[in-house]
Amino acid sequence: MRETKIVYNDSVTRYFIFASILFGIVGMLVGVLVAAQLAFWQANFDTSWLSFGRLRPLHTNAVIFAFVGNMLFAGIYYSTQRLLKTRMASDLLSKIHFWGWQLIIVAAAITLPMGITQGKEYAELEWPIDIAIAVVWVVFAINFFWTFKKRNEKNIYVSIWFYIATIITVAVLHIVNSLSLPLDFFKSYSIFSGAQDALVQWWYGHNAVAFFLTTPILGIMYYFMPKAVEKPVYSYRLSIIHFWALVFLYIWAGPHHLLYTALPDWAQTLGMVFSVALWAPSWGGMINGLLTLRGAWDKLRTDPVVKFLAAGITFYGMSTFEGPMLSIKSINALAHSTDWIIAHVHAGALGWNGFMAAGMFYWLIPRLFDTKLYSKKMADFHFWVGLIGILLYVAAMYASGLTQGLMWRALSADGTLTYPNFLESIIASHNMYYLRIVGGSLFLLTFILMAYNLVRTALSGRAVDGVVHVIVEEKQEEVSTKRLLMSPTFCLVVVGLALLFLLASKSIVQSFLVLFAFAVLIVAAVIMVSKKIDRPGGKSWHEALEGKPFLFASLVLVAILIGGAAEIIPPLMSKDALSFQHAATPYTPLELVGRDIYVREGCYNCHTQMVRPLVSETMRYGPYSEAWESMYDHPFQWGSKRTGPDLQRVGGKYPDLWHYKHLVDPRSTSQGSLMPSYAFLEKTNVDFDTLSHRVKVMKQLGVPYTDADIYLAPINAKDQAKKIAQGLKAQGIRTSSESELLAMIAYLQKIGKDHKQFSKEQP
Amino acid sequence: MNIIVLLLFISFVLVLGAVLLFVYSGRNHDLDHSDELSLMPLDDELYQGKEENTHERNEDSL
Repeated sequence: MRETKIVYNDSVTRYFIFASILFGIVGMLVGVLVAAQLAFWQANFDTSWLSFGRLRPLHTNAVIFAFVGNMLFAGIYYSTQRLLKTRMASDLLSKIHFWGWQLIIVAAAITLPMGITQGKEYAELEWPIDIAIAVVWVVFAINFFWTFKKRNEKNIYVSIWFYIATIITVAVLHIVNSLSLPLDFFKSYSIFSGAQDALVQWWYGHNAVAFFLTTPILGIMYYFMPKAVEKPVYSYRLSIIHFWALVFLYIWAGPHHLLYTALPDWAQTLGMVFSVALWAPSWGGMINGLLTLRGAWDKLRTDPVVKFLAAGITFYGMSTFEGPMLSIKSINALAHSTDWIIAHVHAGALGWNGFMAAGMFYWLIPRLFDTKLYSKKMADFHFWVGLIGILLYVAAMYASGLTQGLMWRALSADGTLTYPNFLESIIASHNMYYLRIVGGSLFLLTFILMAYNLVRTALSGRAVDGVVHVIVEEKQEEVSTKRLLMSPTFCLVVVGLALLFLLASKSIVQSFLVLFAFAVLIVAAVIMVSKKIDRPGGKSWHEALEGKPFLFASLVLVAILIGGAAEIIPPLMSKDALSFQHAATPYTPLELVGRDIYVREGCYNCHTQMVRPLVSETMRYGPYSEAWESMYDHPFQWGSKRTGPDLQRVGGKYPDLWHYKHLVDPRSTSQGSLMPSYAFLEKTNVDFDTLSHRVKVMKQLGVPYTDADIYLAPINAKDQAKKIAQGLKAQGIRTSSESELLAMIAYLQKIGKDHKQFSKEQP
Repeated sequence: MNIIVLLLFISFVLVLGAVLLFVYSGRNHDLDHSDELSLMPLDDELYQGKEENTHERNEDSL
């Protein structure tokens, strides 16, 4: 045995905290601006790079990856070193991680307002930045797991499990969802299309919430809540159970974003059921966090850190009850695409992520600077006014969301739509949009107050790094990894998990095999936890596993791959799984350019292209959307929010003149519209020389273009544009036949046309 | 086969199994080591000191 002194690298923690605070302010400021744009369309300033469609992705990326991202890294670096009783393995890798991540954020801040986007929510960043993210993430992973190798603490505390799950799963999600074929340095097309792309996107999108916004923060909760209240976690056993349940179940939940869409019913049902099941492990975390306060409830009154952490966990509980409820199809039918979803998101983002961040920062900064918090009163003020801000925000969005959902589905006594004009729902929501600005601004202002408080705290102290003296013991004989993997227990688990893949099958025999698989899993779980692996009174299987981080990480990987594989592989392997009734006609070159402009301008942020099979929807928009209609859409543009009407059946609904007027001045055709003006599209020309390459890339992705289509693309596009220009000229509008505006009109006139054509051809 | 029927049955099996596992595991004191592990965040407070972070001493500063 020998004693050794460990000096933790707390510099990196300090830097991540201040980066999180800075970008949190930036991200929330953009959030207040986009909220203002939804109340006052003039706040788009008729400027392309300030328009809502381009700024909303900047807001989401900034708050998720810059604010929460930096915060979770700070928490992970601080707690991991102390839980493993070793300094981070490499100061160099820590620096590369920090600066690499900030460069990615800056790249996002520059490219997104420029319209450089992949057009997929929370995955908008184009392929060079995607590669940078992967590289930085690998650096982070190497640093993290290398630290494991050097640890002086054999067992892994539960927080570390959550960090492992985060690192493994985010890597998988990011790589798969970012798969795309570049057109050039600034543009690429998703290799998936239509319903497949939707499934992959929301497998990613929901699990970005799960494994970026939830699991690392749960790990942080398990470390900082006991620290703050000076009590151990309420139930470590509960943390074991809820960890594995959470990690396994979360991955399946993605399709709950696609309920009543053209996604096959079996996938929707899986998403719904597993989302409801997810309520239990999520509340396991909430219960564990809140009941850690047992015997220390008085700290809620006296300590702002505990206020923030407890309120954060409470918001987590609310959101993880609401989420499963929203995943039930009948409730989702009302809530989908409304502001109710915005309320749900922001209760979680501001309440859970925002308040957990604040609690952690208030606890950490005084200790990292060897001083006391500058002003406890300011911190208390931050809590109460910030809380009021959150409540105003979500209350406003609940009101507007319910209003929208109910108005969209309302039928009069004669069976017609009570509110046939979509804009009536937006006008009815307007007052709530003003209130949202107030709520969001309060949250931002108190966040800035926190920044002031923490900067003053830091300036009053001196930067210190934690020091610990550890006794390093000689390595004891452990249960070998080979013995663990060859144990009957593990073999049973593997067999059981493999049989789960049959869940997507339709055969009765295979269904019973699935039942058998689950029974096997239960038995295996019983044996795994209870059987002593080496000798009576020795370690249980799980206890032995907790000391083996690489095996632990491998099992986490298996757990998260199952859900993704079960849902994503069948549609990729079999057209039957997606039930394509017909084949769509590929876009013409001009329509393709128009579609790229639609993606660039972020039109999917306000418009959906997915008519659901609900009576009120088909009455309002036309026949419900079918999967085959978007089979060549790289990326899919089904959308998720309706601040404007659905566009799936807009093709041929209005003449070109209407679209021209609507794009140049939306209020000239639609009184009460919040849409920004896209008059600038008239001043920008299409680069026809790139069209052949564009069509060629689409052909590589499987769209059935011919060589003639590729060769003649520029000519065909110019011809089609000239026809539109001539038609407009005949109605008194003189506009260049080369403008992007005409390309956009061409695309809009195509949407849904295939379905009309097939409907005509039906006997 | 209607997948809801299948999933309901599986859910029942899972819940029943989980309850049995919980009771069995608790009676066997299988996770007693967890009481020790839950103290880990509090343990490091006992031994922790601090050292000033200066550019001169720490060559690896950001």
